[in-house]
Parts: sequence; structure tokens; C-alpha cells
Amino acid sequence: MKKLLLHSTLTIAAVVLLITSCVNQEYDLSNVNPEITLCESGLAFPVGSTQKITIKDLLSSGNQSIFSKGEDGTLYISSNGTLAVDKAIPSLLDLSGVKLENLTFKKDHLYSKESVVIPPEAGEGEFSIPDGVLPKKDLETQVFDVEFSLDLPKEIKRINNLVLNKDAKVEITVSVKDPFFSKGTLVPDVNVDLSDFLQIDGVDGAINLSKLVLDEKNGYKASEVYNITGLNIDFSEYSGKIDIVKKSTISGSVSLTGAATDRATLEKSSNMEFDLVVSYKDFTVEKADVNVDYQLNAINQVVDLTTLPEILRGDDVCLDVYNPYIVLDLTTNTGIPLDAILTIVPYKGGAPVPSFDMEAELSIPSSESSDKTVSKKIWIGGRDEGIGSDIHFVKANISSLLKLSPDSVLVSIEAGTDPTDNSIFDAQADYFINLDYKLAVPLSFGPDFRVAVSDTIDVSGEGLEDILQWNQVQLLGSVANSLPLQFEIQVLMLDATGTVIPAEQTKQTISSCNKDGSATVSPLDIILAAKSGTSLSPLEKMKISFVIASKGAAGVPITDESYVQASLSVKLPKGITLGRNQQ
Amino acid sequence: MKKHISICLAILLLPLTVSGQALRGSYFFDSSIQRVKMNPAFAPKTNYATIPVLGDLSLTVNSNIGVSNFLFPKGGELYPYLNQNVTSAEFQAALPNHPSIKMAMDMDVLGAGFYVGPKGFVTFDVGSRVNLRMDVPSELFVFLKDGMAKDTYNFKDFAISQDAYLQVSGGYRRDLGDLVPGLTVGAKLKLLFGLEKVDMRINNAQIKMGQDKWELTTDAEGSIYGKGVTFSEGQEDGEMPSVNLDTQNLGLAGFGFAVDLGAEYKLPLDIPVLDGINFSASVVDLGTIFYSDENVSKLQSKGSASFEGLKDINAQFDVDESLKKIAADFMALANFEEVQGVGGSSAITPKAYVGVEAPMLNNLMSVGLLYSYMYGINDLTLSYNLKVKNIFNVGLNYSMLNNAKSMGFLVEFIPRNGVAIFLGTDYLNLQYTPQGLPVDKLIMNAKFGLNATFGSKHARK
Repeated sequence: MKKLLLHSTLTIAAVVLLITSCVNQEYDLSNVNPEITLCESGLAFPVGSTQKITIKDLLSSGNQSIFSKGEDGTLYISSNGTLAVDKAIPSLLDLSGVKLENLTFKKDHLYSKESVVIPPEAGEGEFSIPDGVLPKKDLETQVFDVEFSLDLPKEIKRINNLVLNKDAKVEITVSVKDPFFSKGTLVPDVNVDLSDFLQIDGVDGAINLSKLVLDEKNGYKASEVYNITGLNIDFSEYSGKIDIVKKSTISGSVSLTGAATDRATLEKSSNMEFDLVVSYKDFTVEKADVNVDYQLNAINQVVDLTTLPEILRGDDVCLDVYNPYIVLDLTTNTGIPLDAILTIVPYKGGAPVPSFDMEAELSIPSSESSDKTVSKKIWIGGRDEGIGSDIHFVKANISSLLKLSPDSVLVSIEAGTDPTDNSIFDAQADYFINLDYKLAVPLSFGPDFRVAVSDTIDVSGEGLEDILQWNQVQLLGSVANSLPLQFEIQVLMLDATGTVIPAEQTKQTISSCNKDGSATVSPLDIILAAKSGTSLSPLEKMKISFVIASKGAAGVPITDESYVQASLSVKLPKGITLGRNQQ
Repeated sequence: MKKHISICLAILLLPLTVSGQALRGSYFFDSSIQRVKMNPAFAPKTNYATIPVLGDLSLTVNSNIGVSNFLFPKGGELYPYLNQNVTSAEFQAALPNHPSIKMAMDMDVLGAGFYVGPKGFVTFDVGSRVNLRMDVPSELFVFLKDGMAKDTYNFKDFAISQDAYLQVSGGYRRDLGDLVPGLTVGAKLKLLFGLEKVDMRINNAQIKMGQDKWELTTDAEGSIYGKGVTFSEGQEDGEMPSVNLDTQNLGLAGFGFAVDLGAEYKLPLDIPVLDGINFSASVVDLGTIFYSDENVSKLQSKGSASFEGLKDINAQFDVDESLKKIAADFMALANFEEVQGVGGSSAITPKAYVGVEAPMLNNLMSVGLLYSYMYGINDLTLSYNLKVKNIFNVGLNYSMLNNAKSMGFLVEFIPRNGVAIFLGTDYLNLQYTPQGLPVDKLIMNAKFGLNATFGSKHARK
């Protein structure tokens, strides 16, 4: 029994001892090091590839209308508009005030009725008056003063010629009042000489009225209308107010044939009066050929350049482009040739930058008549290569202005006439000057072209500092670039104050295209990781910067086909380490 | 509306409530009720009846991986295998080629054993048997450790399989001492009623990784044997198939049988202290279950998908939509198609035991050596057995061949009349973490049980 008890006790004790001695403190699970690294030889996976990104995609925020294409395929960014020009010279010449008085010539007692003997056999009836009884009557030559006055605006320095309304006429009316014969033909062989100041259509010198026969059929009244074709006035002698007195001579005779009368008519009449009236109809000035000394109101217009893509504006932009130009498309019906000074002053930050302004001299042509328009294209730029022969070139350094990348430009045009030039005014015309402009910026960049853009992303609270502190994240891939632009990409890690936290290689250069425009392929290799010994715990932001420059490919134009395309993958060269900061 | 029940998940919960295989530590105890399960030629010294549910409570887990495969002590610190202080070579040297976990669960619903005369012993029991196995390819762990040290990984034979069946058995043990002194033989016939069997496996999943392209090729299949239990394909791309339970048509998936055969020979020796040499051998659960085609539901999935990154990214690019499409391509690999299921037979897990015992001091104690084969694992167990009046058994054993090289013990109290109780384990790991997990391979086999004993006038012989 004792042996049995001993054996049992020993056995049980052995079991208990065995159990209690089997604890291996080396494997205490509460002391497991929390740091693990997954895939420590590295892990990489493809991210994907972009579409071919053209310059339109890079620059445009959806406004494709700012792009245009040149004949050589070069893309341009253009800004169009119209410069508002006051309606020109509407009241410069008010020629409605031309005055010309009518002329009136009278001859009383043209014939005396006492000269007529009533034959006794006539009785009450009609009887002829022998021709010799009432012979041709000479009229006294009368010279009239014809006053011609016109107030000229002070800008008109000289009138070369006035063109009357084509409907201008002179009407001459002859009549006999109170004739004492009931029949008879009165022929006024009268000359009315208006040639001192008028040009009459078909009349050389004085107007002879002998064809204006007066008889009982027309009631002894007749008139004739003559077209006035011009003025015989040398206005060059005059300036300021035109007040001209010209002479008009009326002379001649009146003869009567086939006269017949009767007692009653004879007794009834008293004074046979011969009247001649010269009157003017539609006597207005249609056009004036003048010399004008006139300054248009200055045109000042602000052209907003904020329609240009955001990326091309800003303080850190040098918009060095090859041969930008401004095309002015001028259309006018004004008969005044104008000389103009075009001034463009760039504005940046609301303030002008006068040291970069640009000035160009222009000439605005004149139209020969108000119902015809003339057009002129003016090309303002640095070079005239390739522009048409019908385009007027004005050399101006627009490149320097654009390099500043202004927010807007103030366009000023001061135009005026050359007093020595002849100008044609049409008093009835509605004059206009249309000035459309187009600013074209070719996407062909000069050596100084530079655009810097950046975007700062708030990454606080994302746990990124924990990941990047102990892990390397590598962005790999390649970028194919057929744009003549070099891209420098940099990723910076910033603390809350914006100070850069030292990190591994975060800068990458993407080469511009080859000189023939073909694409280059640049490898992409950006590492995101803290530098050894640097803590990323204050990481708040990441700043991604792009500096775009035309290095190595200055002058290569950008076309519709130019693109940049990236293929990306992500590599974790040392796997993913977690749990290190929990130690 | 069909009910969708994850049978695999439910079955995984069973280990908490059901019992396992017999304890090897009980093999050399003459009075043990447990050892009857290992050799039908054995019989306890008393009649007994298993107390339902409580008759045999245990959990058996057999794995070739453990804490020491994944945690490495160095310089006073304990590092997980994914830590950079553990080299890949070190880790791969410690990792078995085919990591696996196996579980077996038995529940005795009813059971009894009783003597029929002095030479015969009859056993009867009804119970359920559940086996679960999970194989994980070692390449998966290597991939997590190494990443892109190589560009292609093959994850082969990633499998989960499970089967359950009901067993009704009847056994008879006969003392043939009249013919051959010391010889007893036994046999047990088991009728097996297959409840269900599930086999899900990825035969191969190959992943090729490159900076510019990832490619995944899979070959997977799943079979379920069961009446009223079927797979249904996922309704959307990537939706995993689910298991449907048609409660109206539940039934047996298959039918089979198994036999246990055993023998024991006691060679008496007239040597001081040593009573003799006992030899025993048995084969247990030698059988199969037959499943008909109509009770087999099989799904297959084969295909490949690749990811080369998002294409044509631009400012208007819909990242979410593209990622969804890519995910759909990969999830389409999980699109299983139903194929014709083929029935057939499925062998149940056989076991074999061969033992040699040297009883001493009038069978007060003995030393035994037991060879066992189960779940594909060979083991050799040396045991010291203390038998007190055939009522109180205390044993210590040491298993030499298995991965754990562990010790076990058994304490058993078997009164002639009353309630027999046993407690023991075959695997008492020699090393544990302070948290109680075995350091070495996870092998556990803990059992506890209660049986009612009724004595027998034949039993004490």
C-alpha cells in the first residue's frame, strides 16, 4: 500500500513538475517586438499610364477657344477683342447752313398800252397788233450781289472743294403780269449769268432764256430748271467763316410777235410787268474736300489678359515666346486719313509697368466715299517673316511686354489728322472706324521661357509621416515628351510653418523633346522617404512643384500633335514596415 | 427562400463541444474503458455505459506548425518572422513544406460494453465523427516575408476539407485462450452514415509580379457531398459561392461501413518482477463511405487576370470606376461554375496500433511501447503505467516520432460500480509560452469523460 501510495504520489508530482517547468520565457508573447516588414525584398505594382496630354490639356481649363493654329501647324493662344472707337467726325462739318438768296428782276411797264391803236373796225372784237407797234424791248442790265456764306469748324483749315448735293438746282421763272394783249408770243432773250459762282449743267457762261416762250397758252409764265453741277468758288482764299459775294448779271431783251388784243383787255390792263426770278433748290453741300487739323478723342481700353491660362500668369512666369504679334483689323468709311500712336502699357498687380510699355505708329487709311469701306490689316510684332504683302507691318517688341506676364494691358490710341492731307467729308454720312485686335502668342518658346507652378496638399492627420518615416516609397516609370518644354518636378515635405523637411531624392527632370520635335523618353524615379536621422513627425503638407522651361528646345513650335505621356508604377524597395513607432 | 448556412463555419465551432480520439496513454491499462476504441480485442474490467455527451469530451488538434515557426527569440527579444532581424533563410528553415492543421472530433451519443460470459465482451455505440483539415501553402508566408525576391509565386494546395458521419457500431471480443493461451481477438463492425463532406481547395494560384504588370492565375474547386446541401454560385462577379441547406430535403449523403480488427497475445514469463510480455495490434476505422452522384455538388473556377495599371488617365478619369472594373476582373476569378459532381467512395481516416507491454509486479505497473498511425502521422509512444487494483490508473508517456516530441499522462478512476472518470492527454508539450501556448508544433489531445460502471462477475479475470 505504501509502495502504491509512493508510486502514485511520485507520478503525480512528476506530472506537476513537468508542467510547471515547461514554460519558456523566451517565447513570452507579451514581449513580441511589434515591428514587422512585409515583403522586405520589395514590392512594386503598376499604377497606370496617362493619355497623351497635349498642351491644350496642360494650359486650358476647358476653354479651347483660346487656341488657334497657324499655317505651319504651330499652336497659338490668342485673345481677341474690339477697341471701341468713337463715331468719327459726325458733327465735324455742319454744312447745312449754306445760304443763298433768290434773285428777282423786274421790269415795269414792259410795253405801254397807249402804243396800241384800236382800229375802228375792231369794235369790241379782237384785233391784231402790228409787230412794229410793240418792238423788241431792251432790258437794262442789272447786276446783283449774290451772298454765299458758310461757317467752318475751326478744325477745317482749308476747303479745297465743296460738292453740292447732286439734286441742287437753279430754277429761273419768267412771267408777264397784266399783259394787255390776249394773244401773242413773248420771247425773253434774256441772259442770266450765274457763272461767277455756279457751274450749270449744259450751260457755258450765262443762261439764255429765249426758249422760255411766253404766250397765252402758258398764261405768260414759264420756268426752267437747271442742274447745278458745282461751284465756281476758289475756297482756298478763305478760312474761318466763308462769306463770299458774287455777282450775277441779268441782261437782254424781250420781243413780242403775233400779238392781238381787244378793247376790253386793253382797257382793263394797267402795268405790264416783266418778272424774272432765280431761285435755288436743294442747294446743300454734299461733300467737302478739306484740310483738317483734328484730334480724335483718345481711345483707352484695358485688355484683360486673365483669359490666358492661369499657368501662364503669375509672379514666377517668364513668358518668353517667339514672335508674338498683334493684328489690328481696321475697317472704316471715314474720308479722313488719320495718323495714330498705339501705346500698350502692361499692368501687373494693378500697377503699370511703364518700363515695359510698347509704342507703335500706325496710319489709318481714308475711304474715297462714305458708302465705301476701306480695310487695313496692321501686323505689330518683332518680325515680318511670312506675313502677306497686303498687311502693313509695324515693328514693335511685344516679346518683352509678354515676358512680364502682365494681368492686363492698357491700349491707348491717339489719332489725329495731318493738316496737309486732303480729307473728304460727306455731310450725310454716318462714319465709323472699327478696330478689331487679336493678340497671338505662339506656343514656340524662347530661351527665357519659364513657368513655375506648385500645389500644396495638406496631409496632416493622414498618417503619412508614420509611413514615410520608416518606409521608402518610390515612384518609377517613364515620361514620353514631345513638347519643347523641360519639366522639373519636385516633391517637398513641409512642416506646419512651411519649412522644408530634409528628405531623400525628390527631384526629377523630364527632358524636352528633340530639336526635330520627336519625343524623348525620360525615366522617372522619385523617392519619398525621410533622410537618415531626420524625423518626419512634423509633416503637415506636401508641396509638388513644376518648373517648366524651354531648355534645349527653344524655338521648336508646339503643334496639335505635341504631347506628354507618363507611365507610372510604385515600388516599395524595402517593403512596408509597420509598428516601429510603437516600440 | 433558401437558407444559406455556412456549414464549414458551424462545423468549425464543434470542437468546443465534442470529444476526440482515444488516448494512447490508456492503451496499456487493462481496466480502461478508453482503450476499447483502439483495439476491439481489449475489454475493460467492468460493464459500462457511456454517459451521453459527458462520456467523452476532448479536442484533438494536430499541426506541424507552432509558435516557434513564426516567432524567433534573439538577444533577449522575441521577433516575429516578418521582422527584419529574422532572415528569410532562417524562417524558411523553420517552416515545414506543407503547413497544415488537422482536427478530429468524436462524440459518443450512446455507448455500452458488457460481458457475455467469461470470454466474450460486447460493445455497442452510436456516435458522430468529424474530421477537419486545413492546408496552407508555405509560399504564402514566404511571399509576405520576401515580397518580390522572386517574380513568381505558386500557392499550391491551399485546402480546407471536412467530413462528418454517423457511426453505429457493434463489436465483440473473444478470449481464445482455449485455443491459444493468452490470445484474445476482437472485431467491430461499423455502419457509417455520411452526413456531409466538404472539400474546398485552390489547386494552384500563381501570382507573377512585375513593376509593370501583375498576373494572377487560379485553379480552384470545391465539392460538397450531402443530400439537401448544395453549393450555389455567387450571384455577382467575385461573390463567393455559398452553401445552401434545404431543410425539407435533408438526408444522408452516403452510406458505408468500416471494421475494426484487433488481437492481443499475453505471453507469460516466469521472471522476477516481469510478469510477461503482452503483444497487441489493431486496425481501426478501416472503411469507406459511398456517395452517389446526385448527392455531390461541385464547383470549379479556372482563369487568370492581370493588372497593368489604369489606362488613359486624364483629368476627367474616373478612378473609382476603373478600380471597380479591375477589381471585377480579379473577382471574376472567384466565379465558380457548377460542374457535374461525381460520387464515389471516400475512405475514412484509418488508424493502426501495435503495442508491446511488459507488466510488472503482478501487473501493478507496466512499461509499454506503442506504435500508432493516424492522420498520416507515425508515432512511437513509450509509457509507464501504474495500475492500482485495476481501479486507479496513472500513466506517463512520451511520444518520440511526432513533431511535438511530447509527453502525455492519464489519470483514470474506474470503480467496479459507480462513475468512472478519466482525464488525460497524449501531448503535454515540453515547452509552453507564459501564455500557455505550445512553443513547438501545435498538437493537443486533451480528454475528459464520465462513464457509469456496473461491474461484472466475469470482468476481474
